Amino acid sequence: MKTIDLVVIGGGPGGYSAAFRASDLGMKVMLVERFSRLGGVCLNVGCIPSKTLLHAAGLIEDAAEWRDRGVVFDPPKIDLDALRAWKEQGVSQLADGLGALAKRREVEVVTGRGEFVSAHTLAVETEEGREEVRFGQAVIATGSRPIKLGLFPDDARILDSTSALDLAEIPERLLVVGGGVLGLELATVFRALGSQVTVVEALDQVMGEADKDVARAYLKRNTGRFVAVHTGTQVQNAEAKDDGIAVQFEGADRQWEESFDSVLVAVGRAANSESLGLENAGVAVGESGTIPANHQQRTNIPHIFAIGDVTGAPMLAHRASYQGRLAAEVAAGMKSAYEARVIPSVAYTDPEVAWVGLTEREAKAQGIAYERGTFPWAASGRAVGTARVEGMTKLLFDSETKRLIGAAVVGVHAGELIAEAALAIETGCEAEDIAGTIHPHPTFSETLAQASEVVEGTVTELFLGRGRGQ
Amino acid sequence: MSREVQVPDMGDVEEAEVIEVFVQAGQSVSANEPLITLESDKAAMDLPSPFGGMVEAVHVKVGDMVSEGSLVATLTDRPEDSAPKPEEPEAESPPSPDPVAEAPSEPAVSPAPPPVAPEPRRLGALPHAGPAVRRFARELGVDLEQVSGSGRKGRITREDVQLYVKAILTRQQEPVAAARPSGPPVDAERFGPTRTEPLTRIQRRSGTNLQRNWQLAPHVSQHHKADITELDRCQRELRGQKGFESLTVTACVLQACAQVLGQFPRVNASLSEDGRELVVREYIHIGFAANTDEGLVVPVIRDADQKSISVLAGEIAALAERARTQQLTAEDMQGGGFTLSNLGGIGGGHFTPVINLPQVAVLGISRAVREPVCIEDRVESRLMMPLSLSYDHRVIDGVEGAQFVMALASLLENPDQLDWGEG
Ligand SMILES: Cc1cc2nc3c(=O)[nH]c(=O)nc-3n(C[C@H](O)[C@H](O)[C@H](O)COP(=O)(O)OP(=O)(O)OC[C@H]3O[C@@H](n4cnc5c(N)ncnc54)[C@H](O)[C@@H]3O)c2cc1C
Repeated sequence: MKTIDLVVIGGGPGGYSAAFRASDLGMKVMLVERFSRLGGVCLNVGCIPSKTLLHAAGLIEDAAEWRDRGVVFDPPKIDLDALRAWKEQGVSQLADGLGALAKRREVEVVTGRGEFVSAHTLAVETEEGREEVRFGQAVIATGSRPIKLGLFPDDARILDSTSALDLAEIPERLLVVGGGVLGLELATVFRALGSQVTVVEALDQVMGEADKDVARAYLKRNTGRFVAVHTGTQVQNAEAKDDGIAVQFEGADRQWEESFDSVLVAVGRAANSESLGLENAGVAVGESGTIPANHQQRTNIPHIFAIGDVTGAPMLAHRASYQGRLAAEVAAGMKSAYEARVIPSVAYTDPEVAWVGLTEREAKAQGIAYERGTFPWAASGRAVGTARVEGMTKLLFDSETKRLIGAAVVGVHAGELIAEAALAIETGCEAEDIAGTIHPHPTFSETLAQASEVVEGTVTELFLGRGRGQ
Repeated sequence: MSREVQVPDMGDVEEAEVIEVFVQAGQSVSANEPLITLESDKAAMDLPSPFGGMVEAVHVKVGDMVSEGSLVATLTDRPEDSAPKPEEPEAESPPSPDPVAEAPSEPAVSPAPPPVAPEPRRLGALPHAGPAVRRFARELGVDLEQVSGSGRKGRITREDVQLYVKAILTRQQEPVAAARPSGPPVDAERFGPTRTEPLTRIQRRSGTNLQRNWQLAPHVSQHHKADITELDRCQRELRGQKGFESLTVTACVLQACAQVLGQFPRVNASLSEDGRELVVREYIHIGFAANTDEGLVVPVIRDADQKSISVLAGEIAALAERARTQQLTAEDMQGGGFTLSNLGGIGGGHFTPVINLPQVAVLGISRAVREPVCIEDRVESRLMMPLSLSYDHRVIDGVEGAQFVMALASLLENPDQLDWGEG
């Protein structure tokens, strides 16, 4: 039986990061991925393809919007095949790159499904048959999959994120079930490509994790773009009919039925912890199928690590790859541990919404006194010129220690801007530090300095009253 | 099933002594729990148990010499250890390169419970350090909560972590010795009844300092006797007069030392931290040892060369009083370049005072007694005071040591050359 130092199960951003780092640290590594392409959900059916399509959506919206500002294009013709091909070629290029990186590192990539036979043996089912390998240590990086809701019929018109990104067609009337990041991103794509999009969300707010004012700022630009955004509303039933999917809704004060050409279900993701033979290895599985791991990503079986989506929320690629590199270092004997204090979240919607650290809701729930600095983009020269004044930048500082503890940005490039806030939190910056850092003008990044100046009382782009910030 | 624990490869250490045994037969131990402590001439180390189990027998005792492969203990499986639990080392130890013998393929019965996330701490109040410093601290095993930051608003820098570790290491070198201050352990109870008395805080602290100073500085002690017959006469004349109410020998010797230190600046110097330079003080601050109920303290007289015996006597009396009433501040005891220790009140001859590093010399004086002394061809009764100068031989050579003592004696023998001051 073949013997290796480290086997990694799952070739997503978590798995390949772990495999590559471990190999760079001198370990003999095998990476087992059931699909022939590396990159996992993120590269193949997640982050990368969705952002490609969102970029296209942005172009379409911008072109249409600038018509009134003297830049007039003909209405766009959407060539779905070409768009799909562009998306595919980007994904292939990146996947090939990962394959080449694996080869140069001499990471053995095996295409097949992995399953534990014992705490030190993994069976891999490949096209050629079943093979068993003995390993010193293992990393479980099997990711997650969309949750299916039983109430939706088995019908080709019921989509999940993966089938939606296939872009088989652009439905005329699309219902997006789930007003979270994933649902709203895809809603943005389909609305730009021509669908009439309705969004339904059970919570009383879209982007449930973000603060209410953040969600409101996002909706400012989108009310009117979507047919409707029904918050506090449940789908009671869905029936496949010839002329569409008939959906019954129940809101706070009414019930109704509507018909859609397609329904996209984006209500969350479940950890891939089944049929992995975890019981044979003794690895414990926690609530809702996620695998608990400690600050070094070790499971209850210390030489078996778990990283990424399979360990639960927040299910994000940058968390998975951080944990992957960490697990590799620990496996190689380094004294590494999870050191990061915050993980930024980004919705690549239009406008983008990004947040990091504590929200106001969380700070209040934890009884933390904070000071808030909000800078509305209506006062940003750059935002006015670009006609993107719907944005806002909000920073939260601990009242006692003065350090930044949370940030939220709504607006174009929010996903890029939030990185500065993440760095500021990790390095313990105060409002004075951010305000005292000269930001380039005119940029959207200035709004972070200005929001800090609001807290300091030194802002000049807004008038908050005289005699402040002395 | 029973398994044996042997002494592992100890690197370049061939043989080590068992200095502590933590377990005994019948006791249950878990993996990584220390079984014994070994000490070689290089270092002391704990030998952790490579696996959990019940101790069947311990094969070593304190004082045994062991080497790689020596049998330490035999462990038997506890019921809960017989589950097919992998034997990979716990957190933060390097992995074993080879997979262990294959675990049985039936499901594991009771693996460890799933890891629980630790209680989250308030984001804004975590130690003020960026990711790189946090990682650096973790590698060294430093708890950042314990490190004080030198950066703006207490931000912890990489240097702060380094300094913290350095400080711990220096501190640890003291306790290494201090941990076994009495040498090889002897059970004194076996020979008769004993009782224990706690050392005071001052005693404990000066103990570690003394040990460090004694070990670090190569001490040489130069002994001599000064004829203070004249000095004693002057002192008697002045004592009790206005301005000389608290006149003592200490004040006179301190004045003399201040003068002589001016002629021998190296004796008033320190070695630089890296040992490559001499840091010469351009001021003369002298500490004097004062006994208190709690132990010895050394208050410092500033600019002693600019003060007359009369002034010095007053200051010494005031500081000694504050020492007795435990009112000395840390500042009162800092900044000395030389130390004077007077055992004259008790009697006894020459002794070897311990240098108070980073100073390089200390003077001990003992009780002066009348002795027959040959002066030219006559034998006279003179009052002779023993002088004991200990100096750091890295800085002061034998010639300079002797010259210093002779110059001091000559000054004490010619009291008119001392600055007595006005009453
Ligand atoms: C539409 C969409 C958009 C997204 N956008 C973003 C975004 O913008 N930013 C972001 O941070 N995150 C985004 N995510 C989430 C992101 O994709 C995941 O967090 C990330 O892929 C998790 O990485 P992972 O390595 O844990 O698992 P995955 O990427 O899920 O990879 C797991 C891999 O394991 C393989 N596998 C599973 N079981 C086995 C087995 N038994 N044997 C062998 N192989 C197995 C799977 O085939 C898969 O390739 C998005 C997700 C979706 C669905």
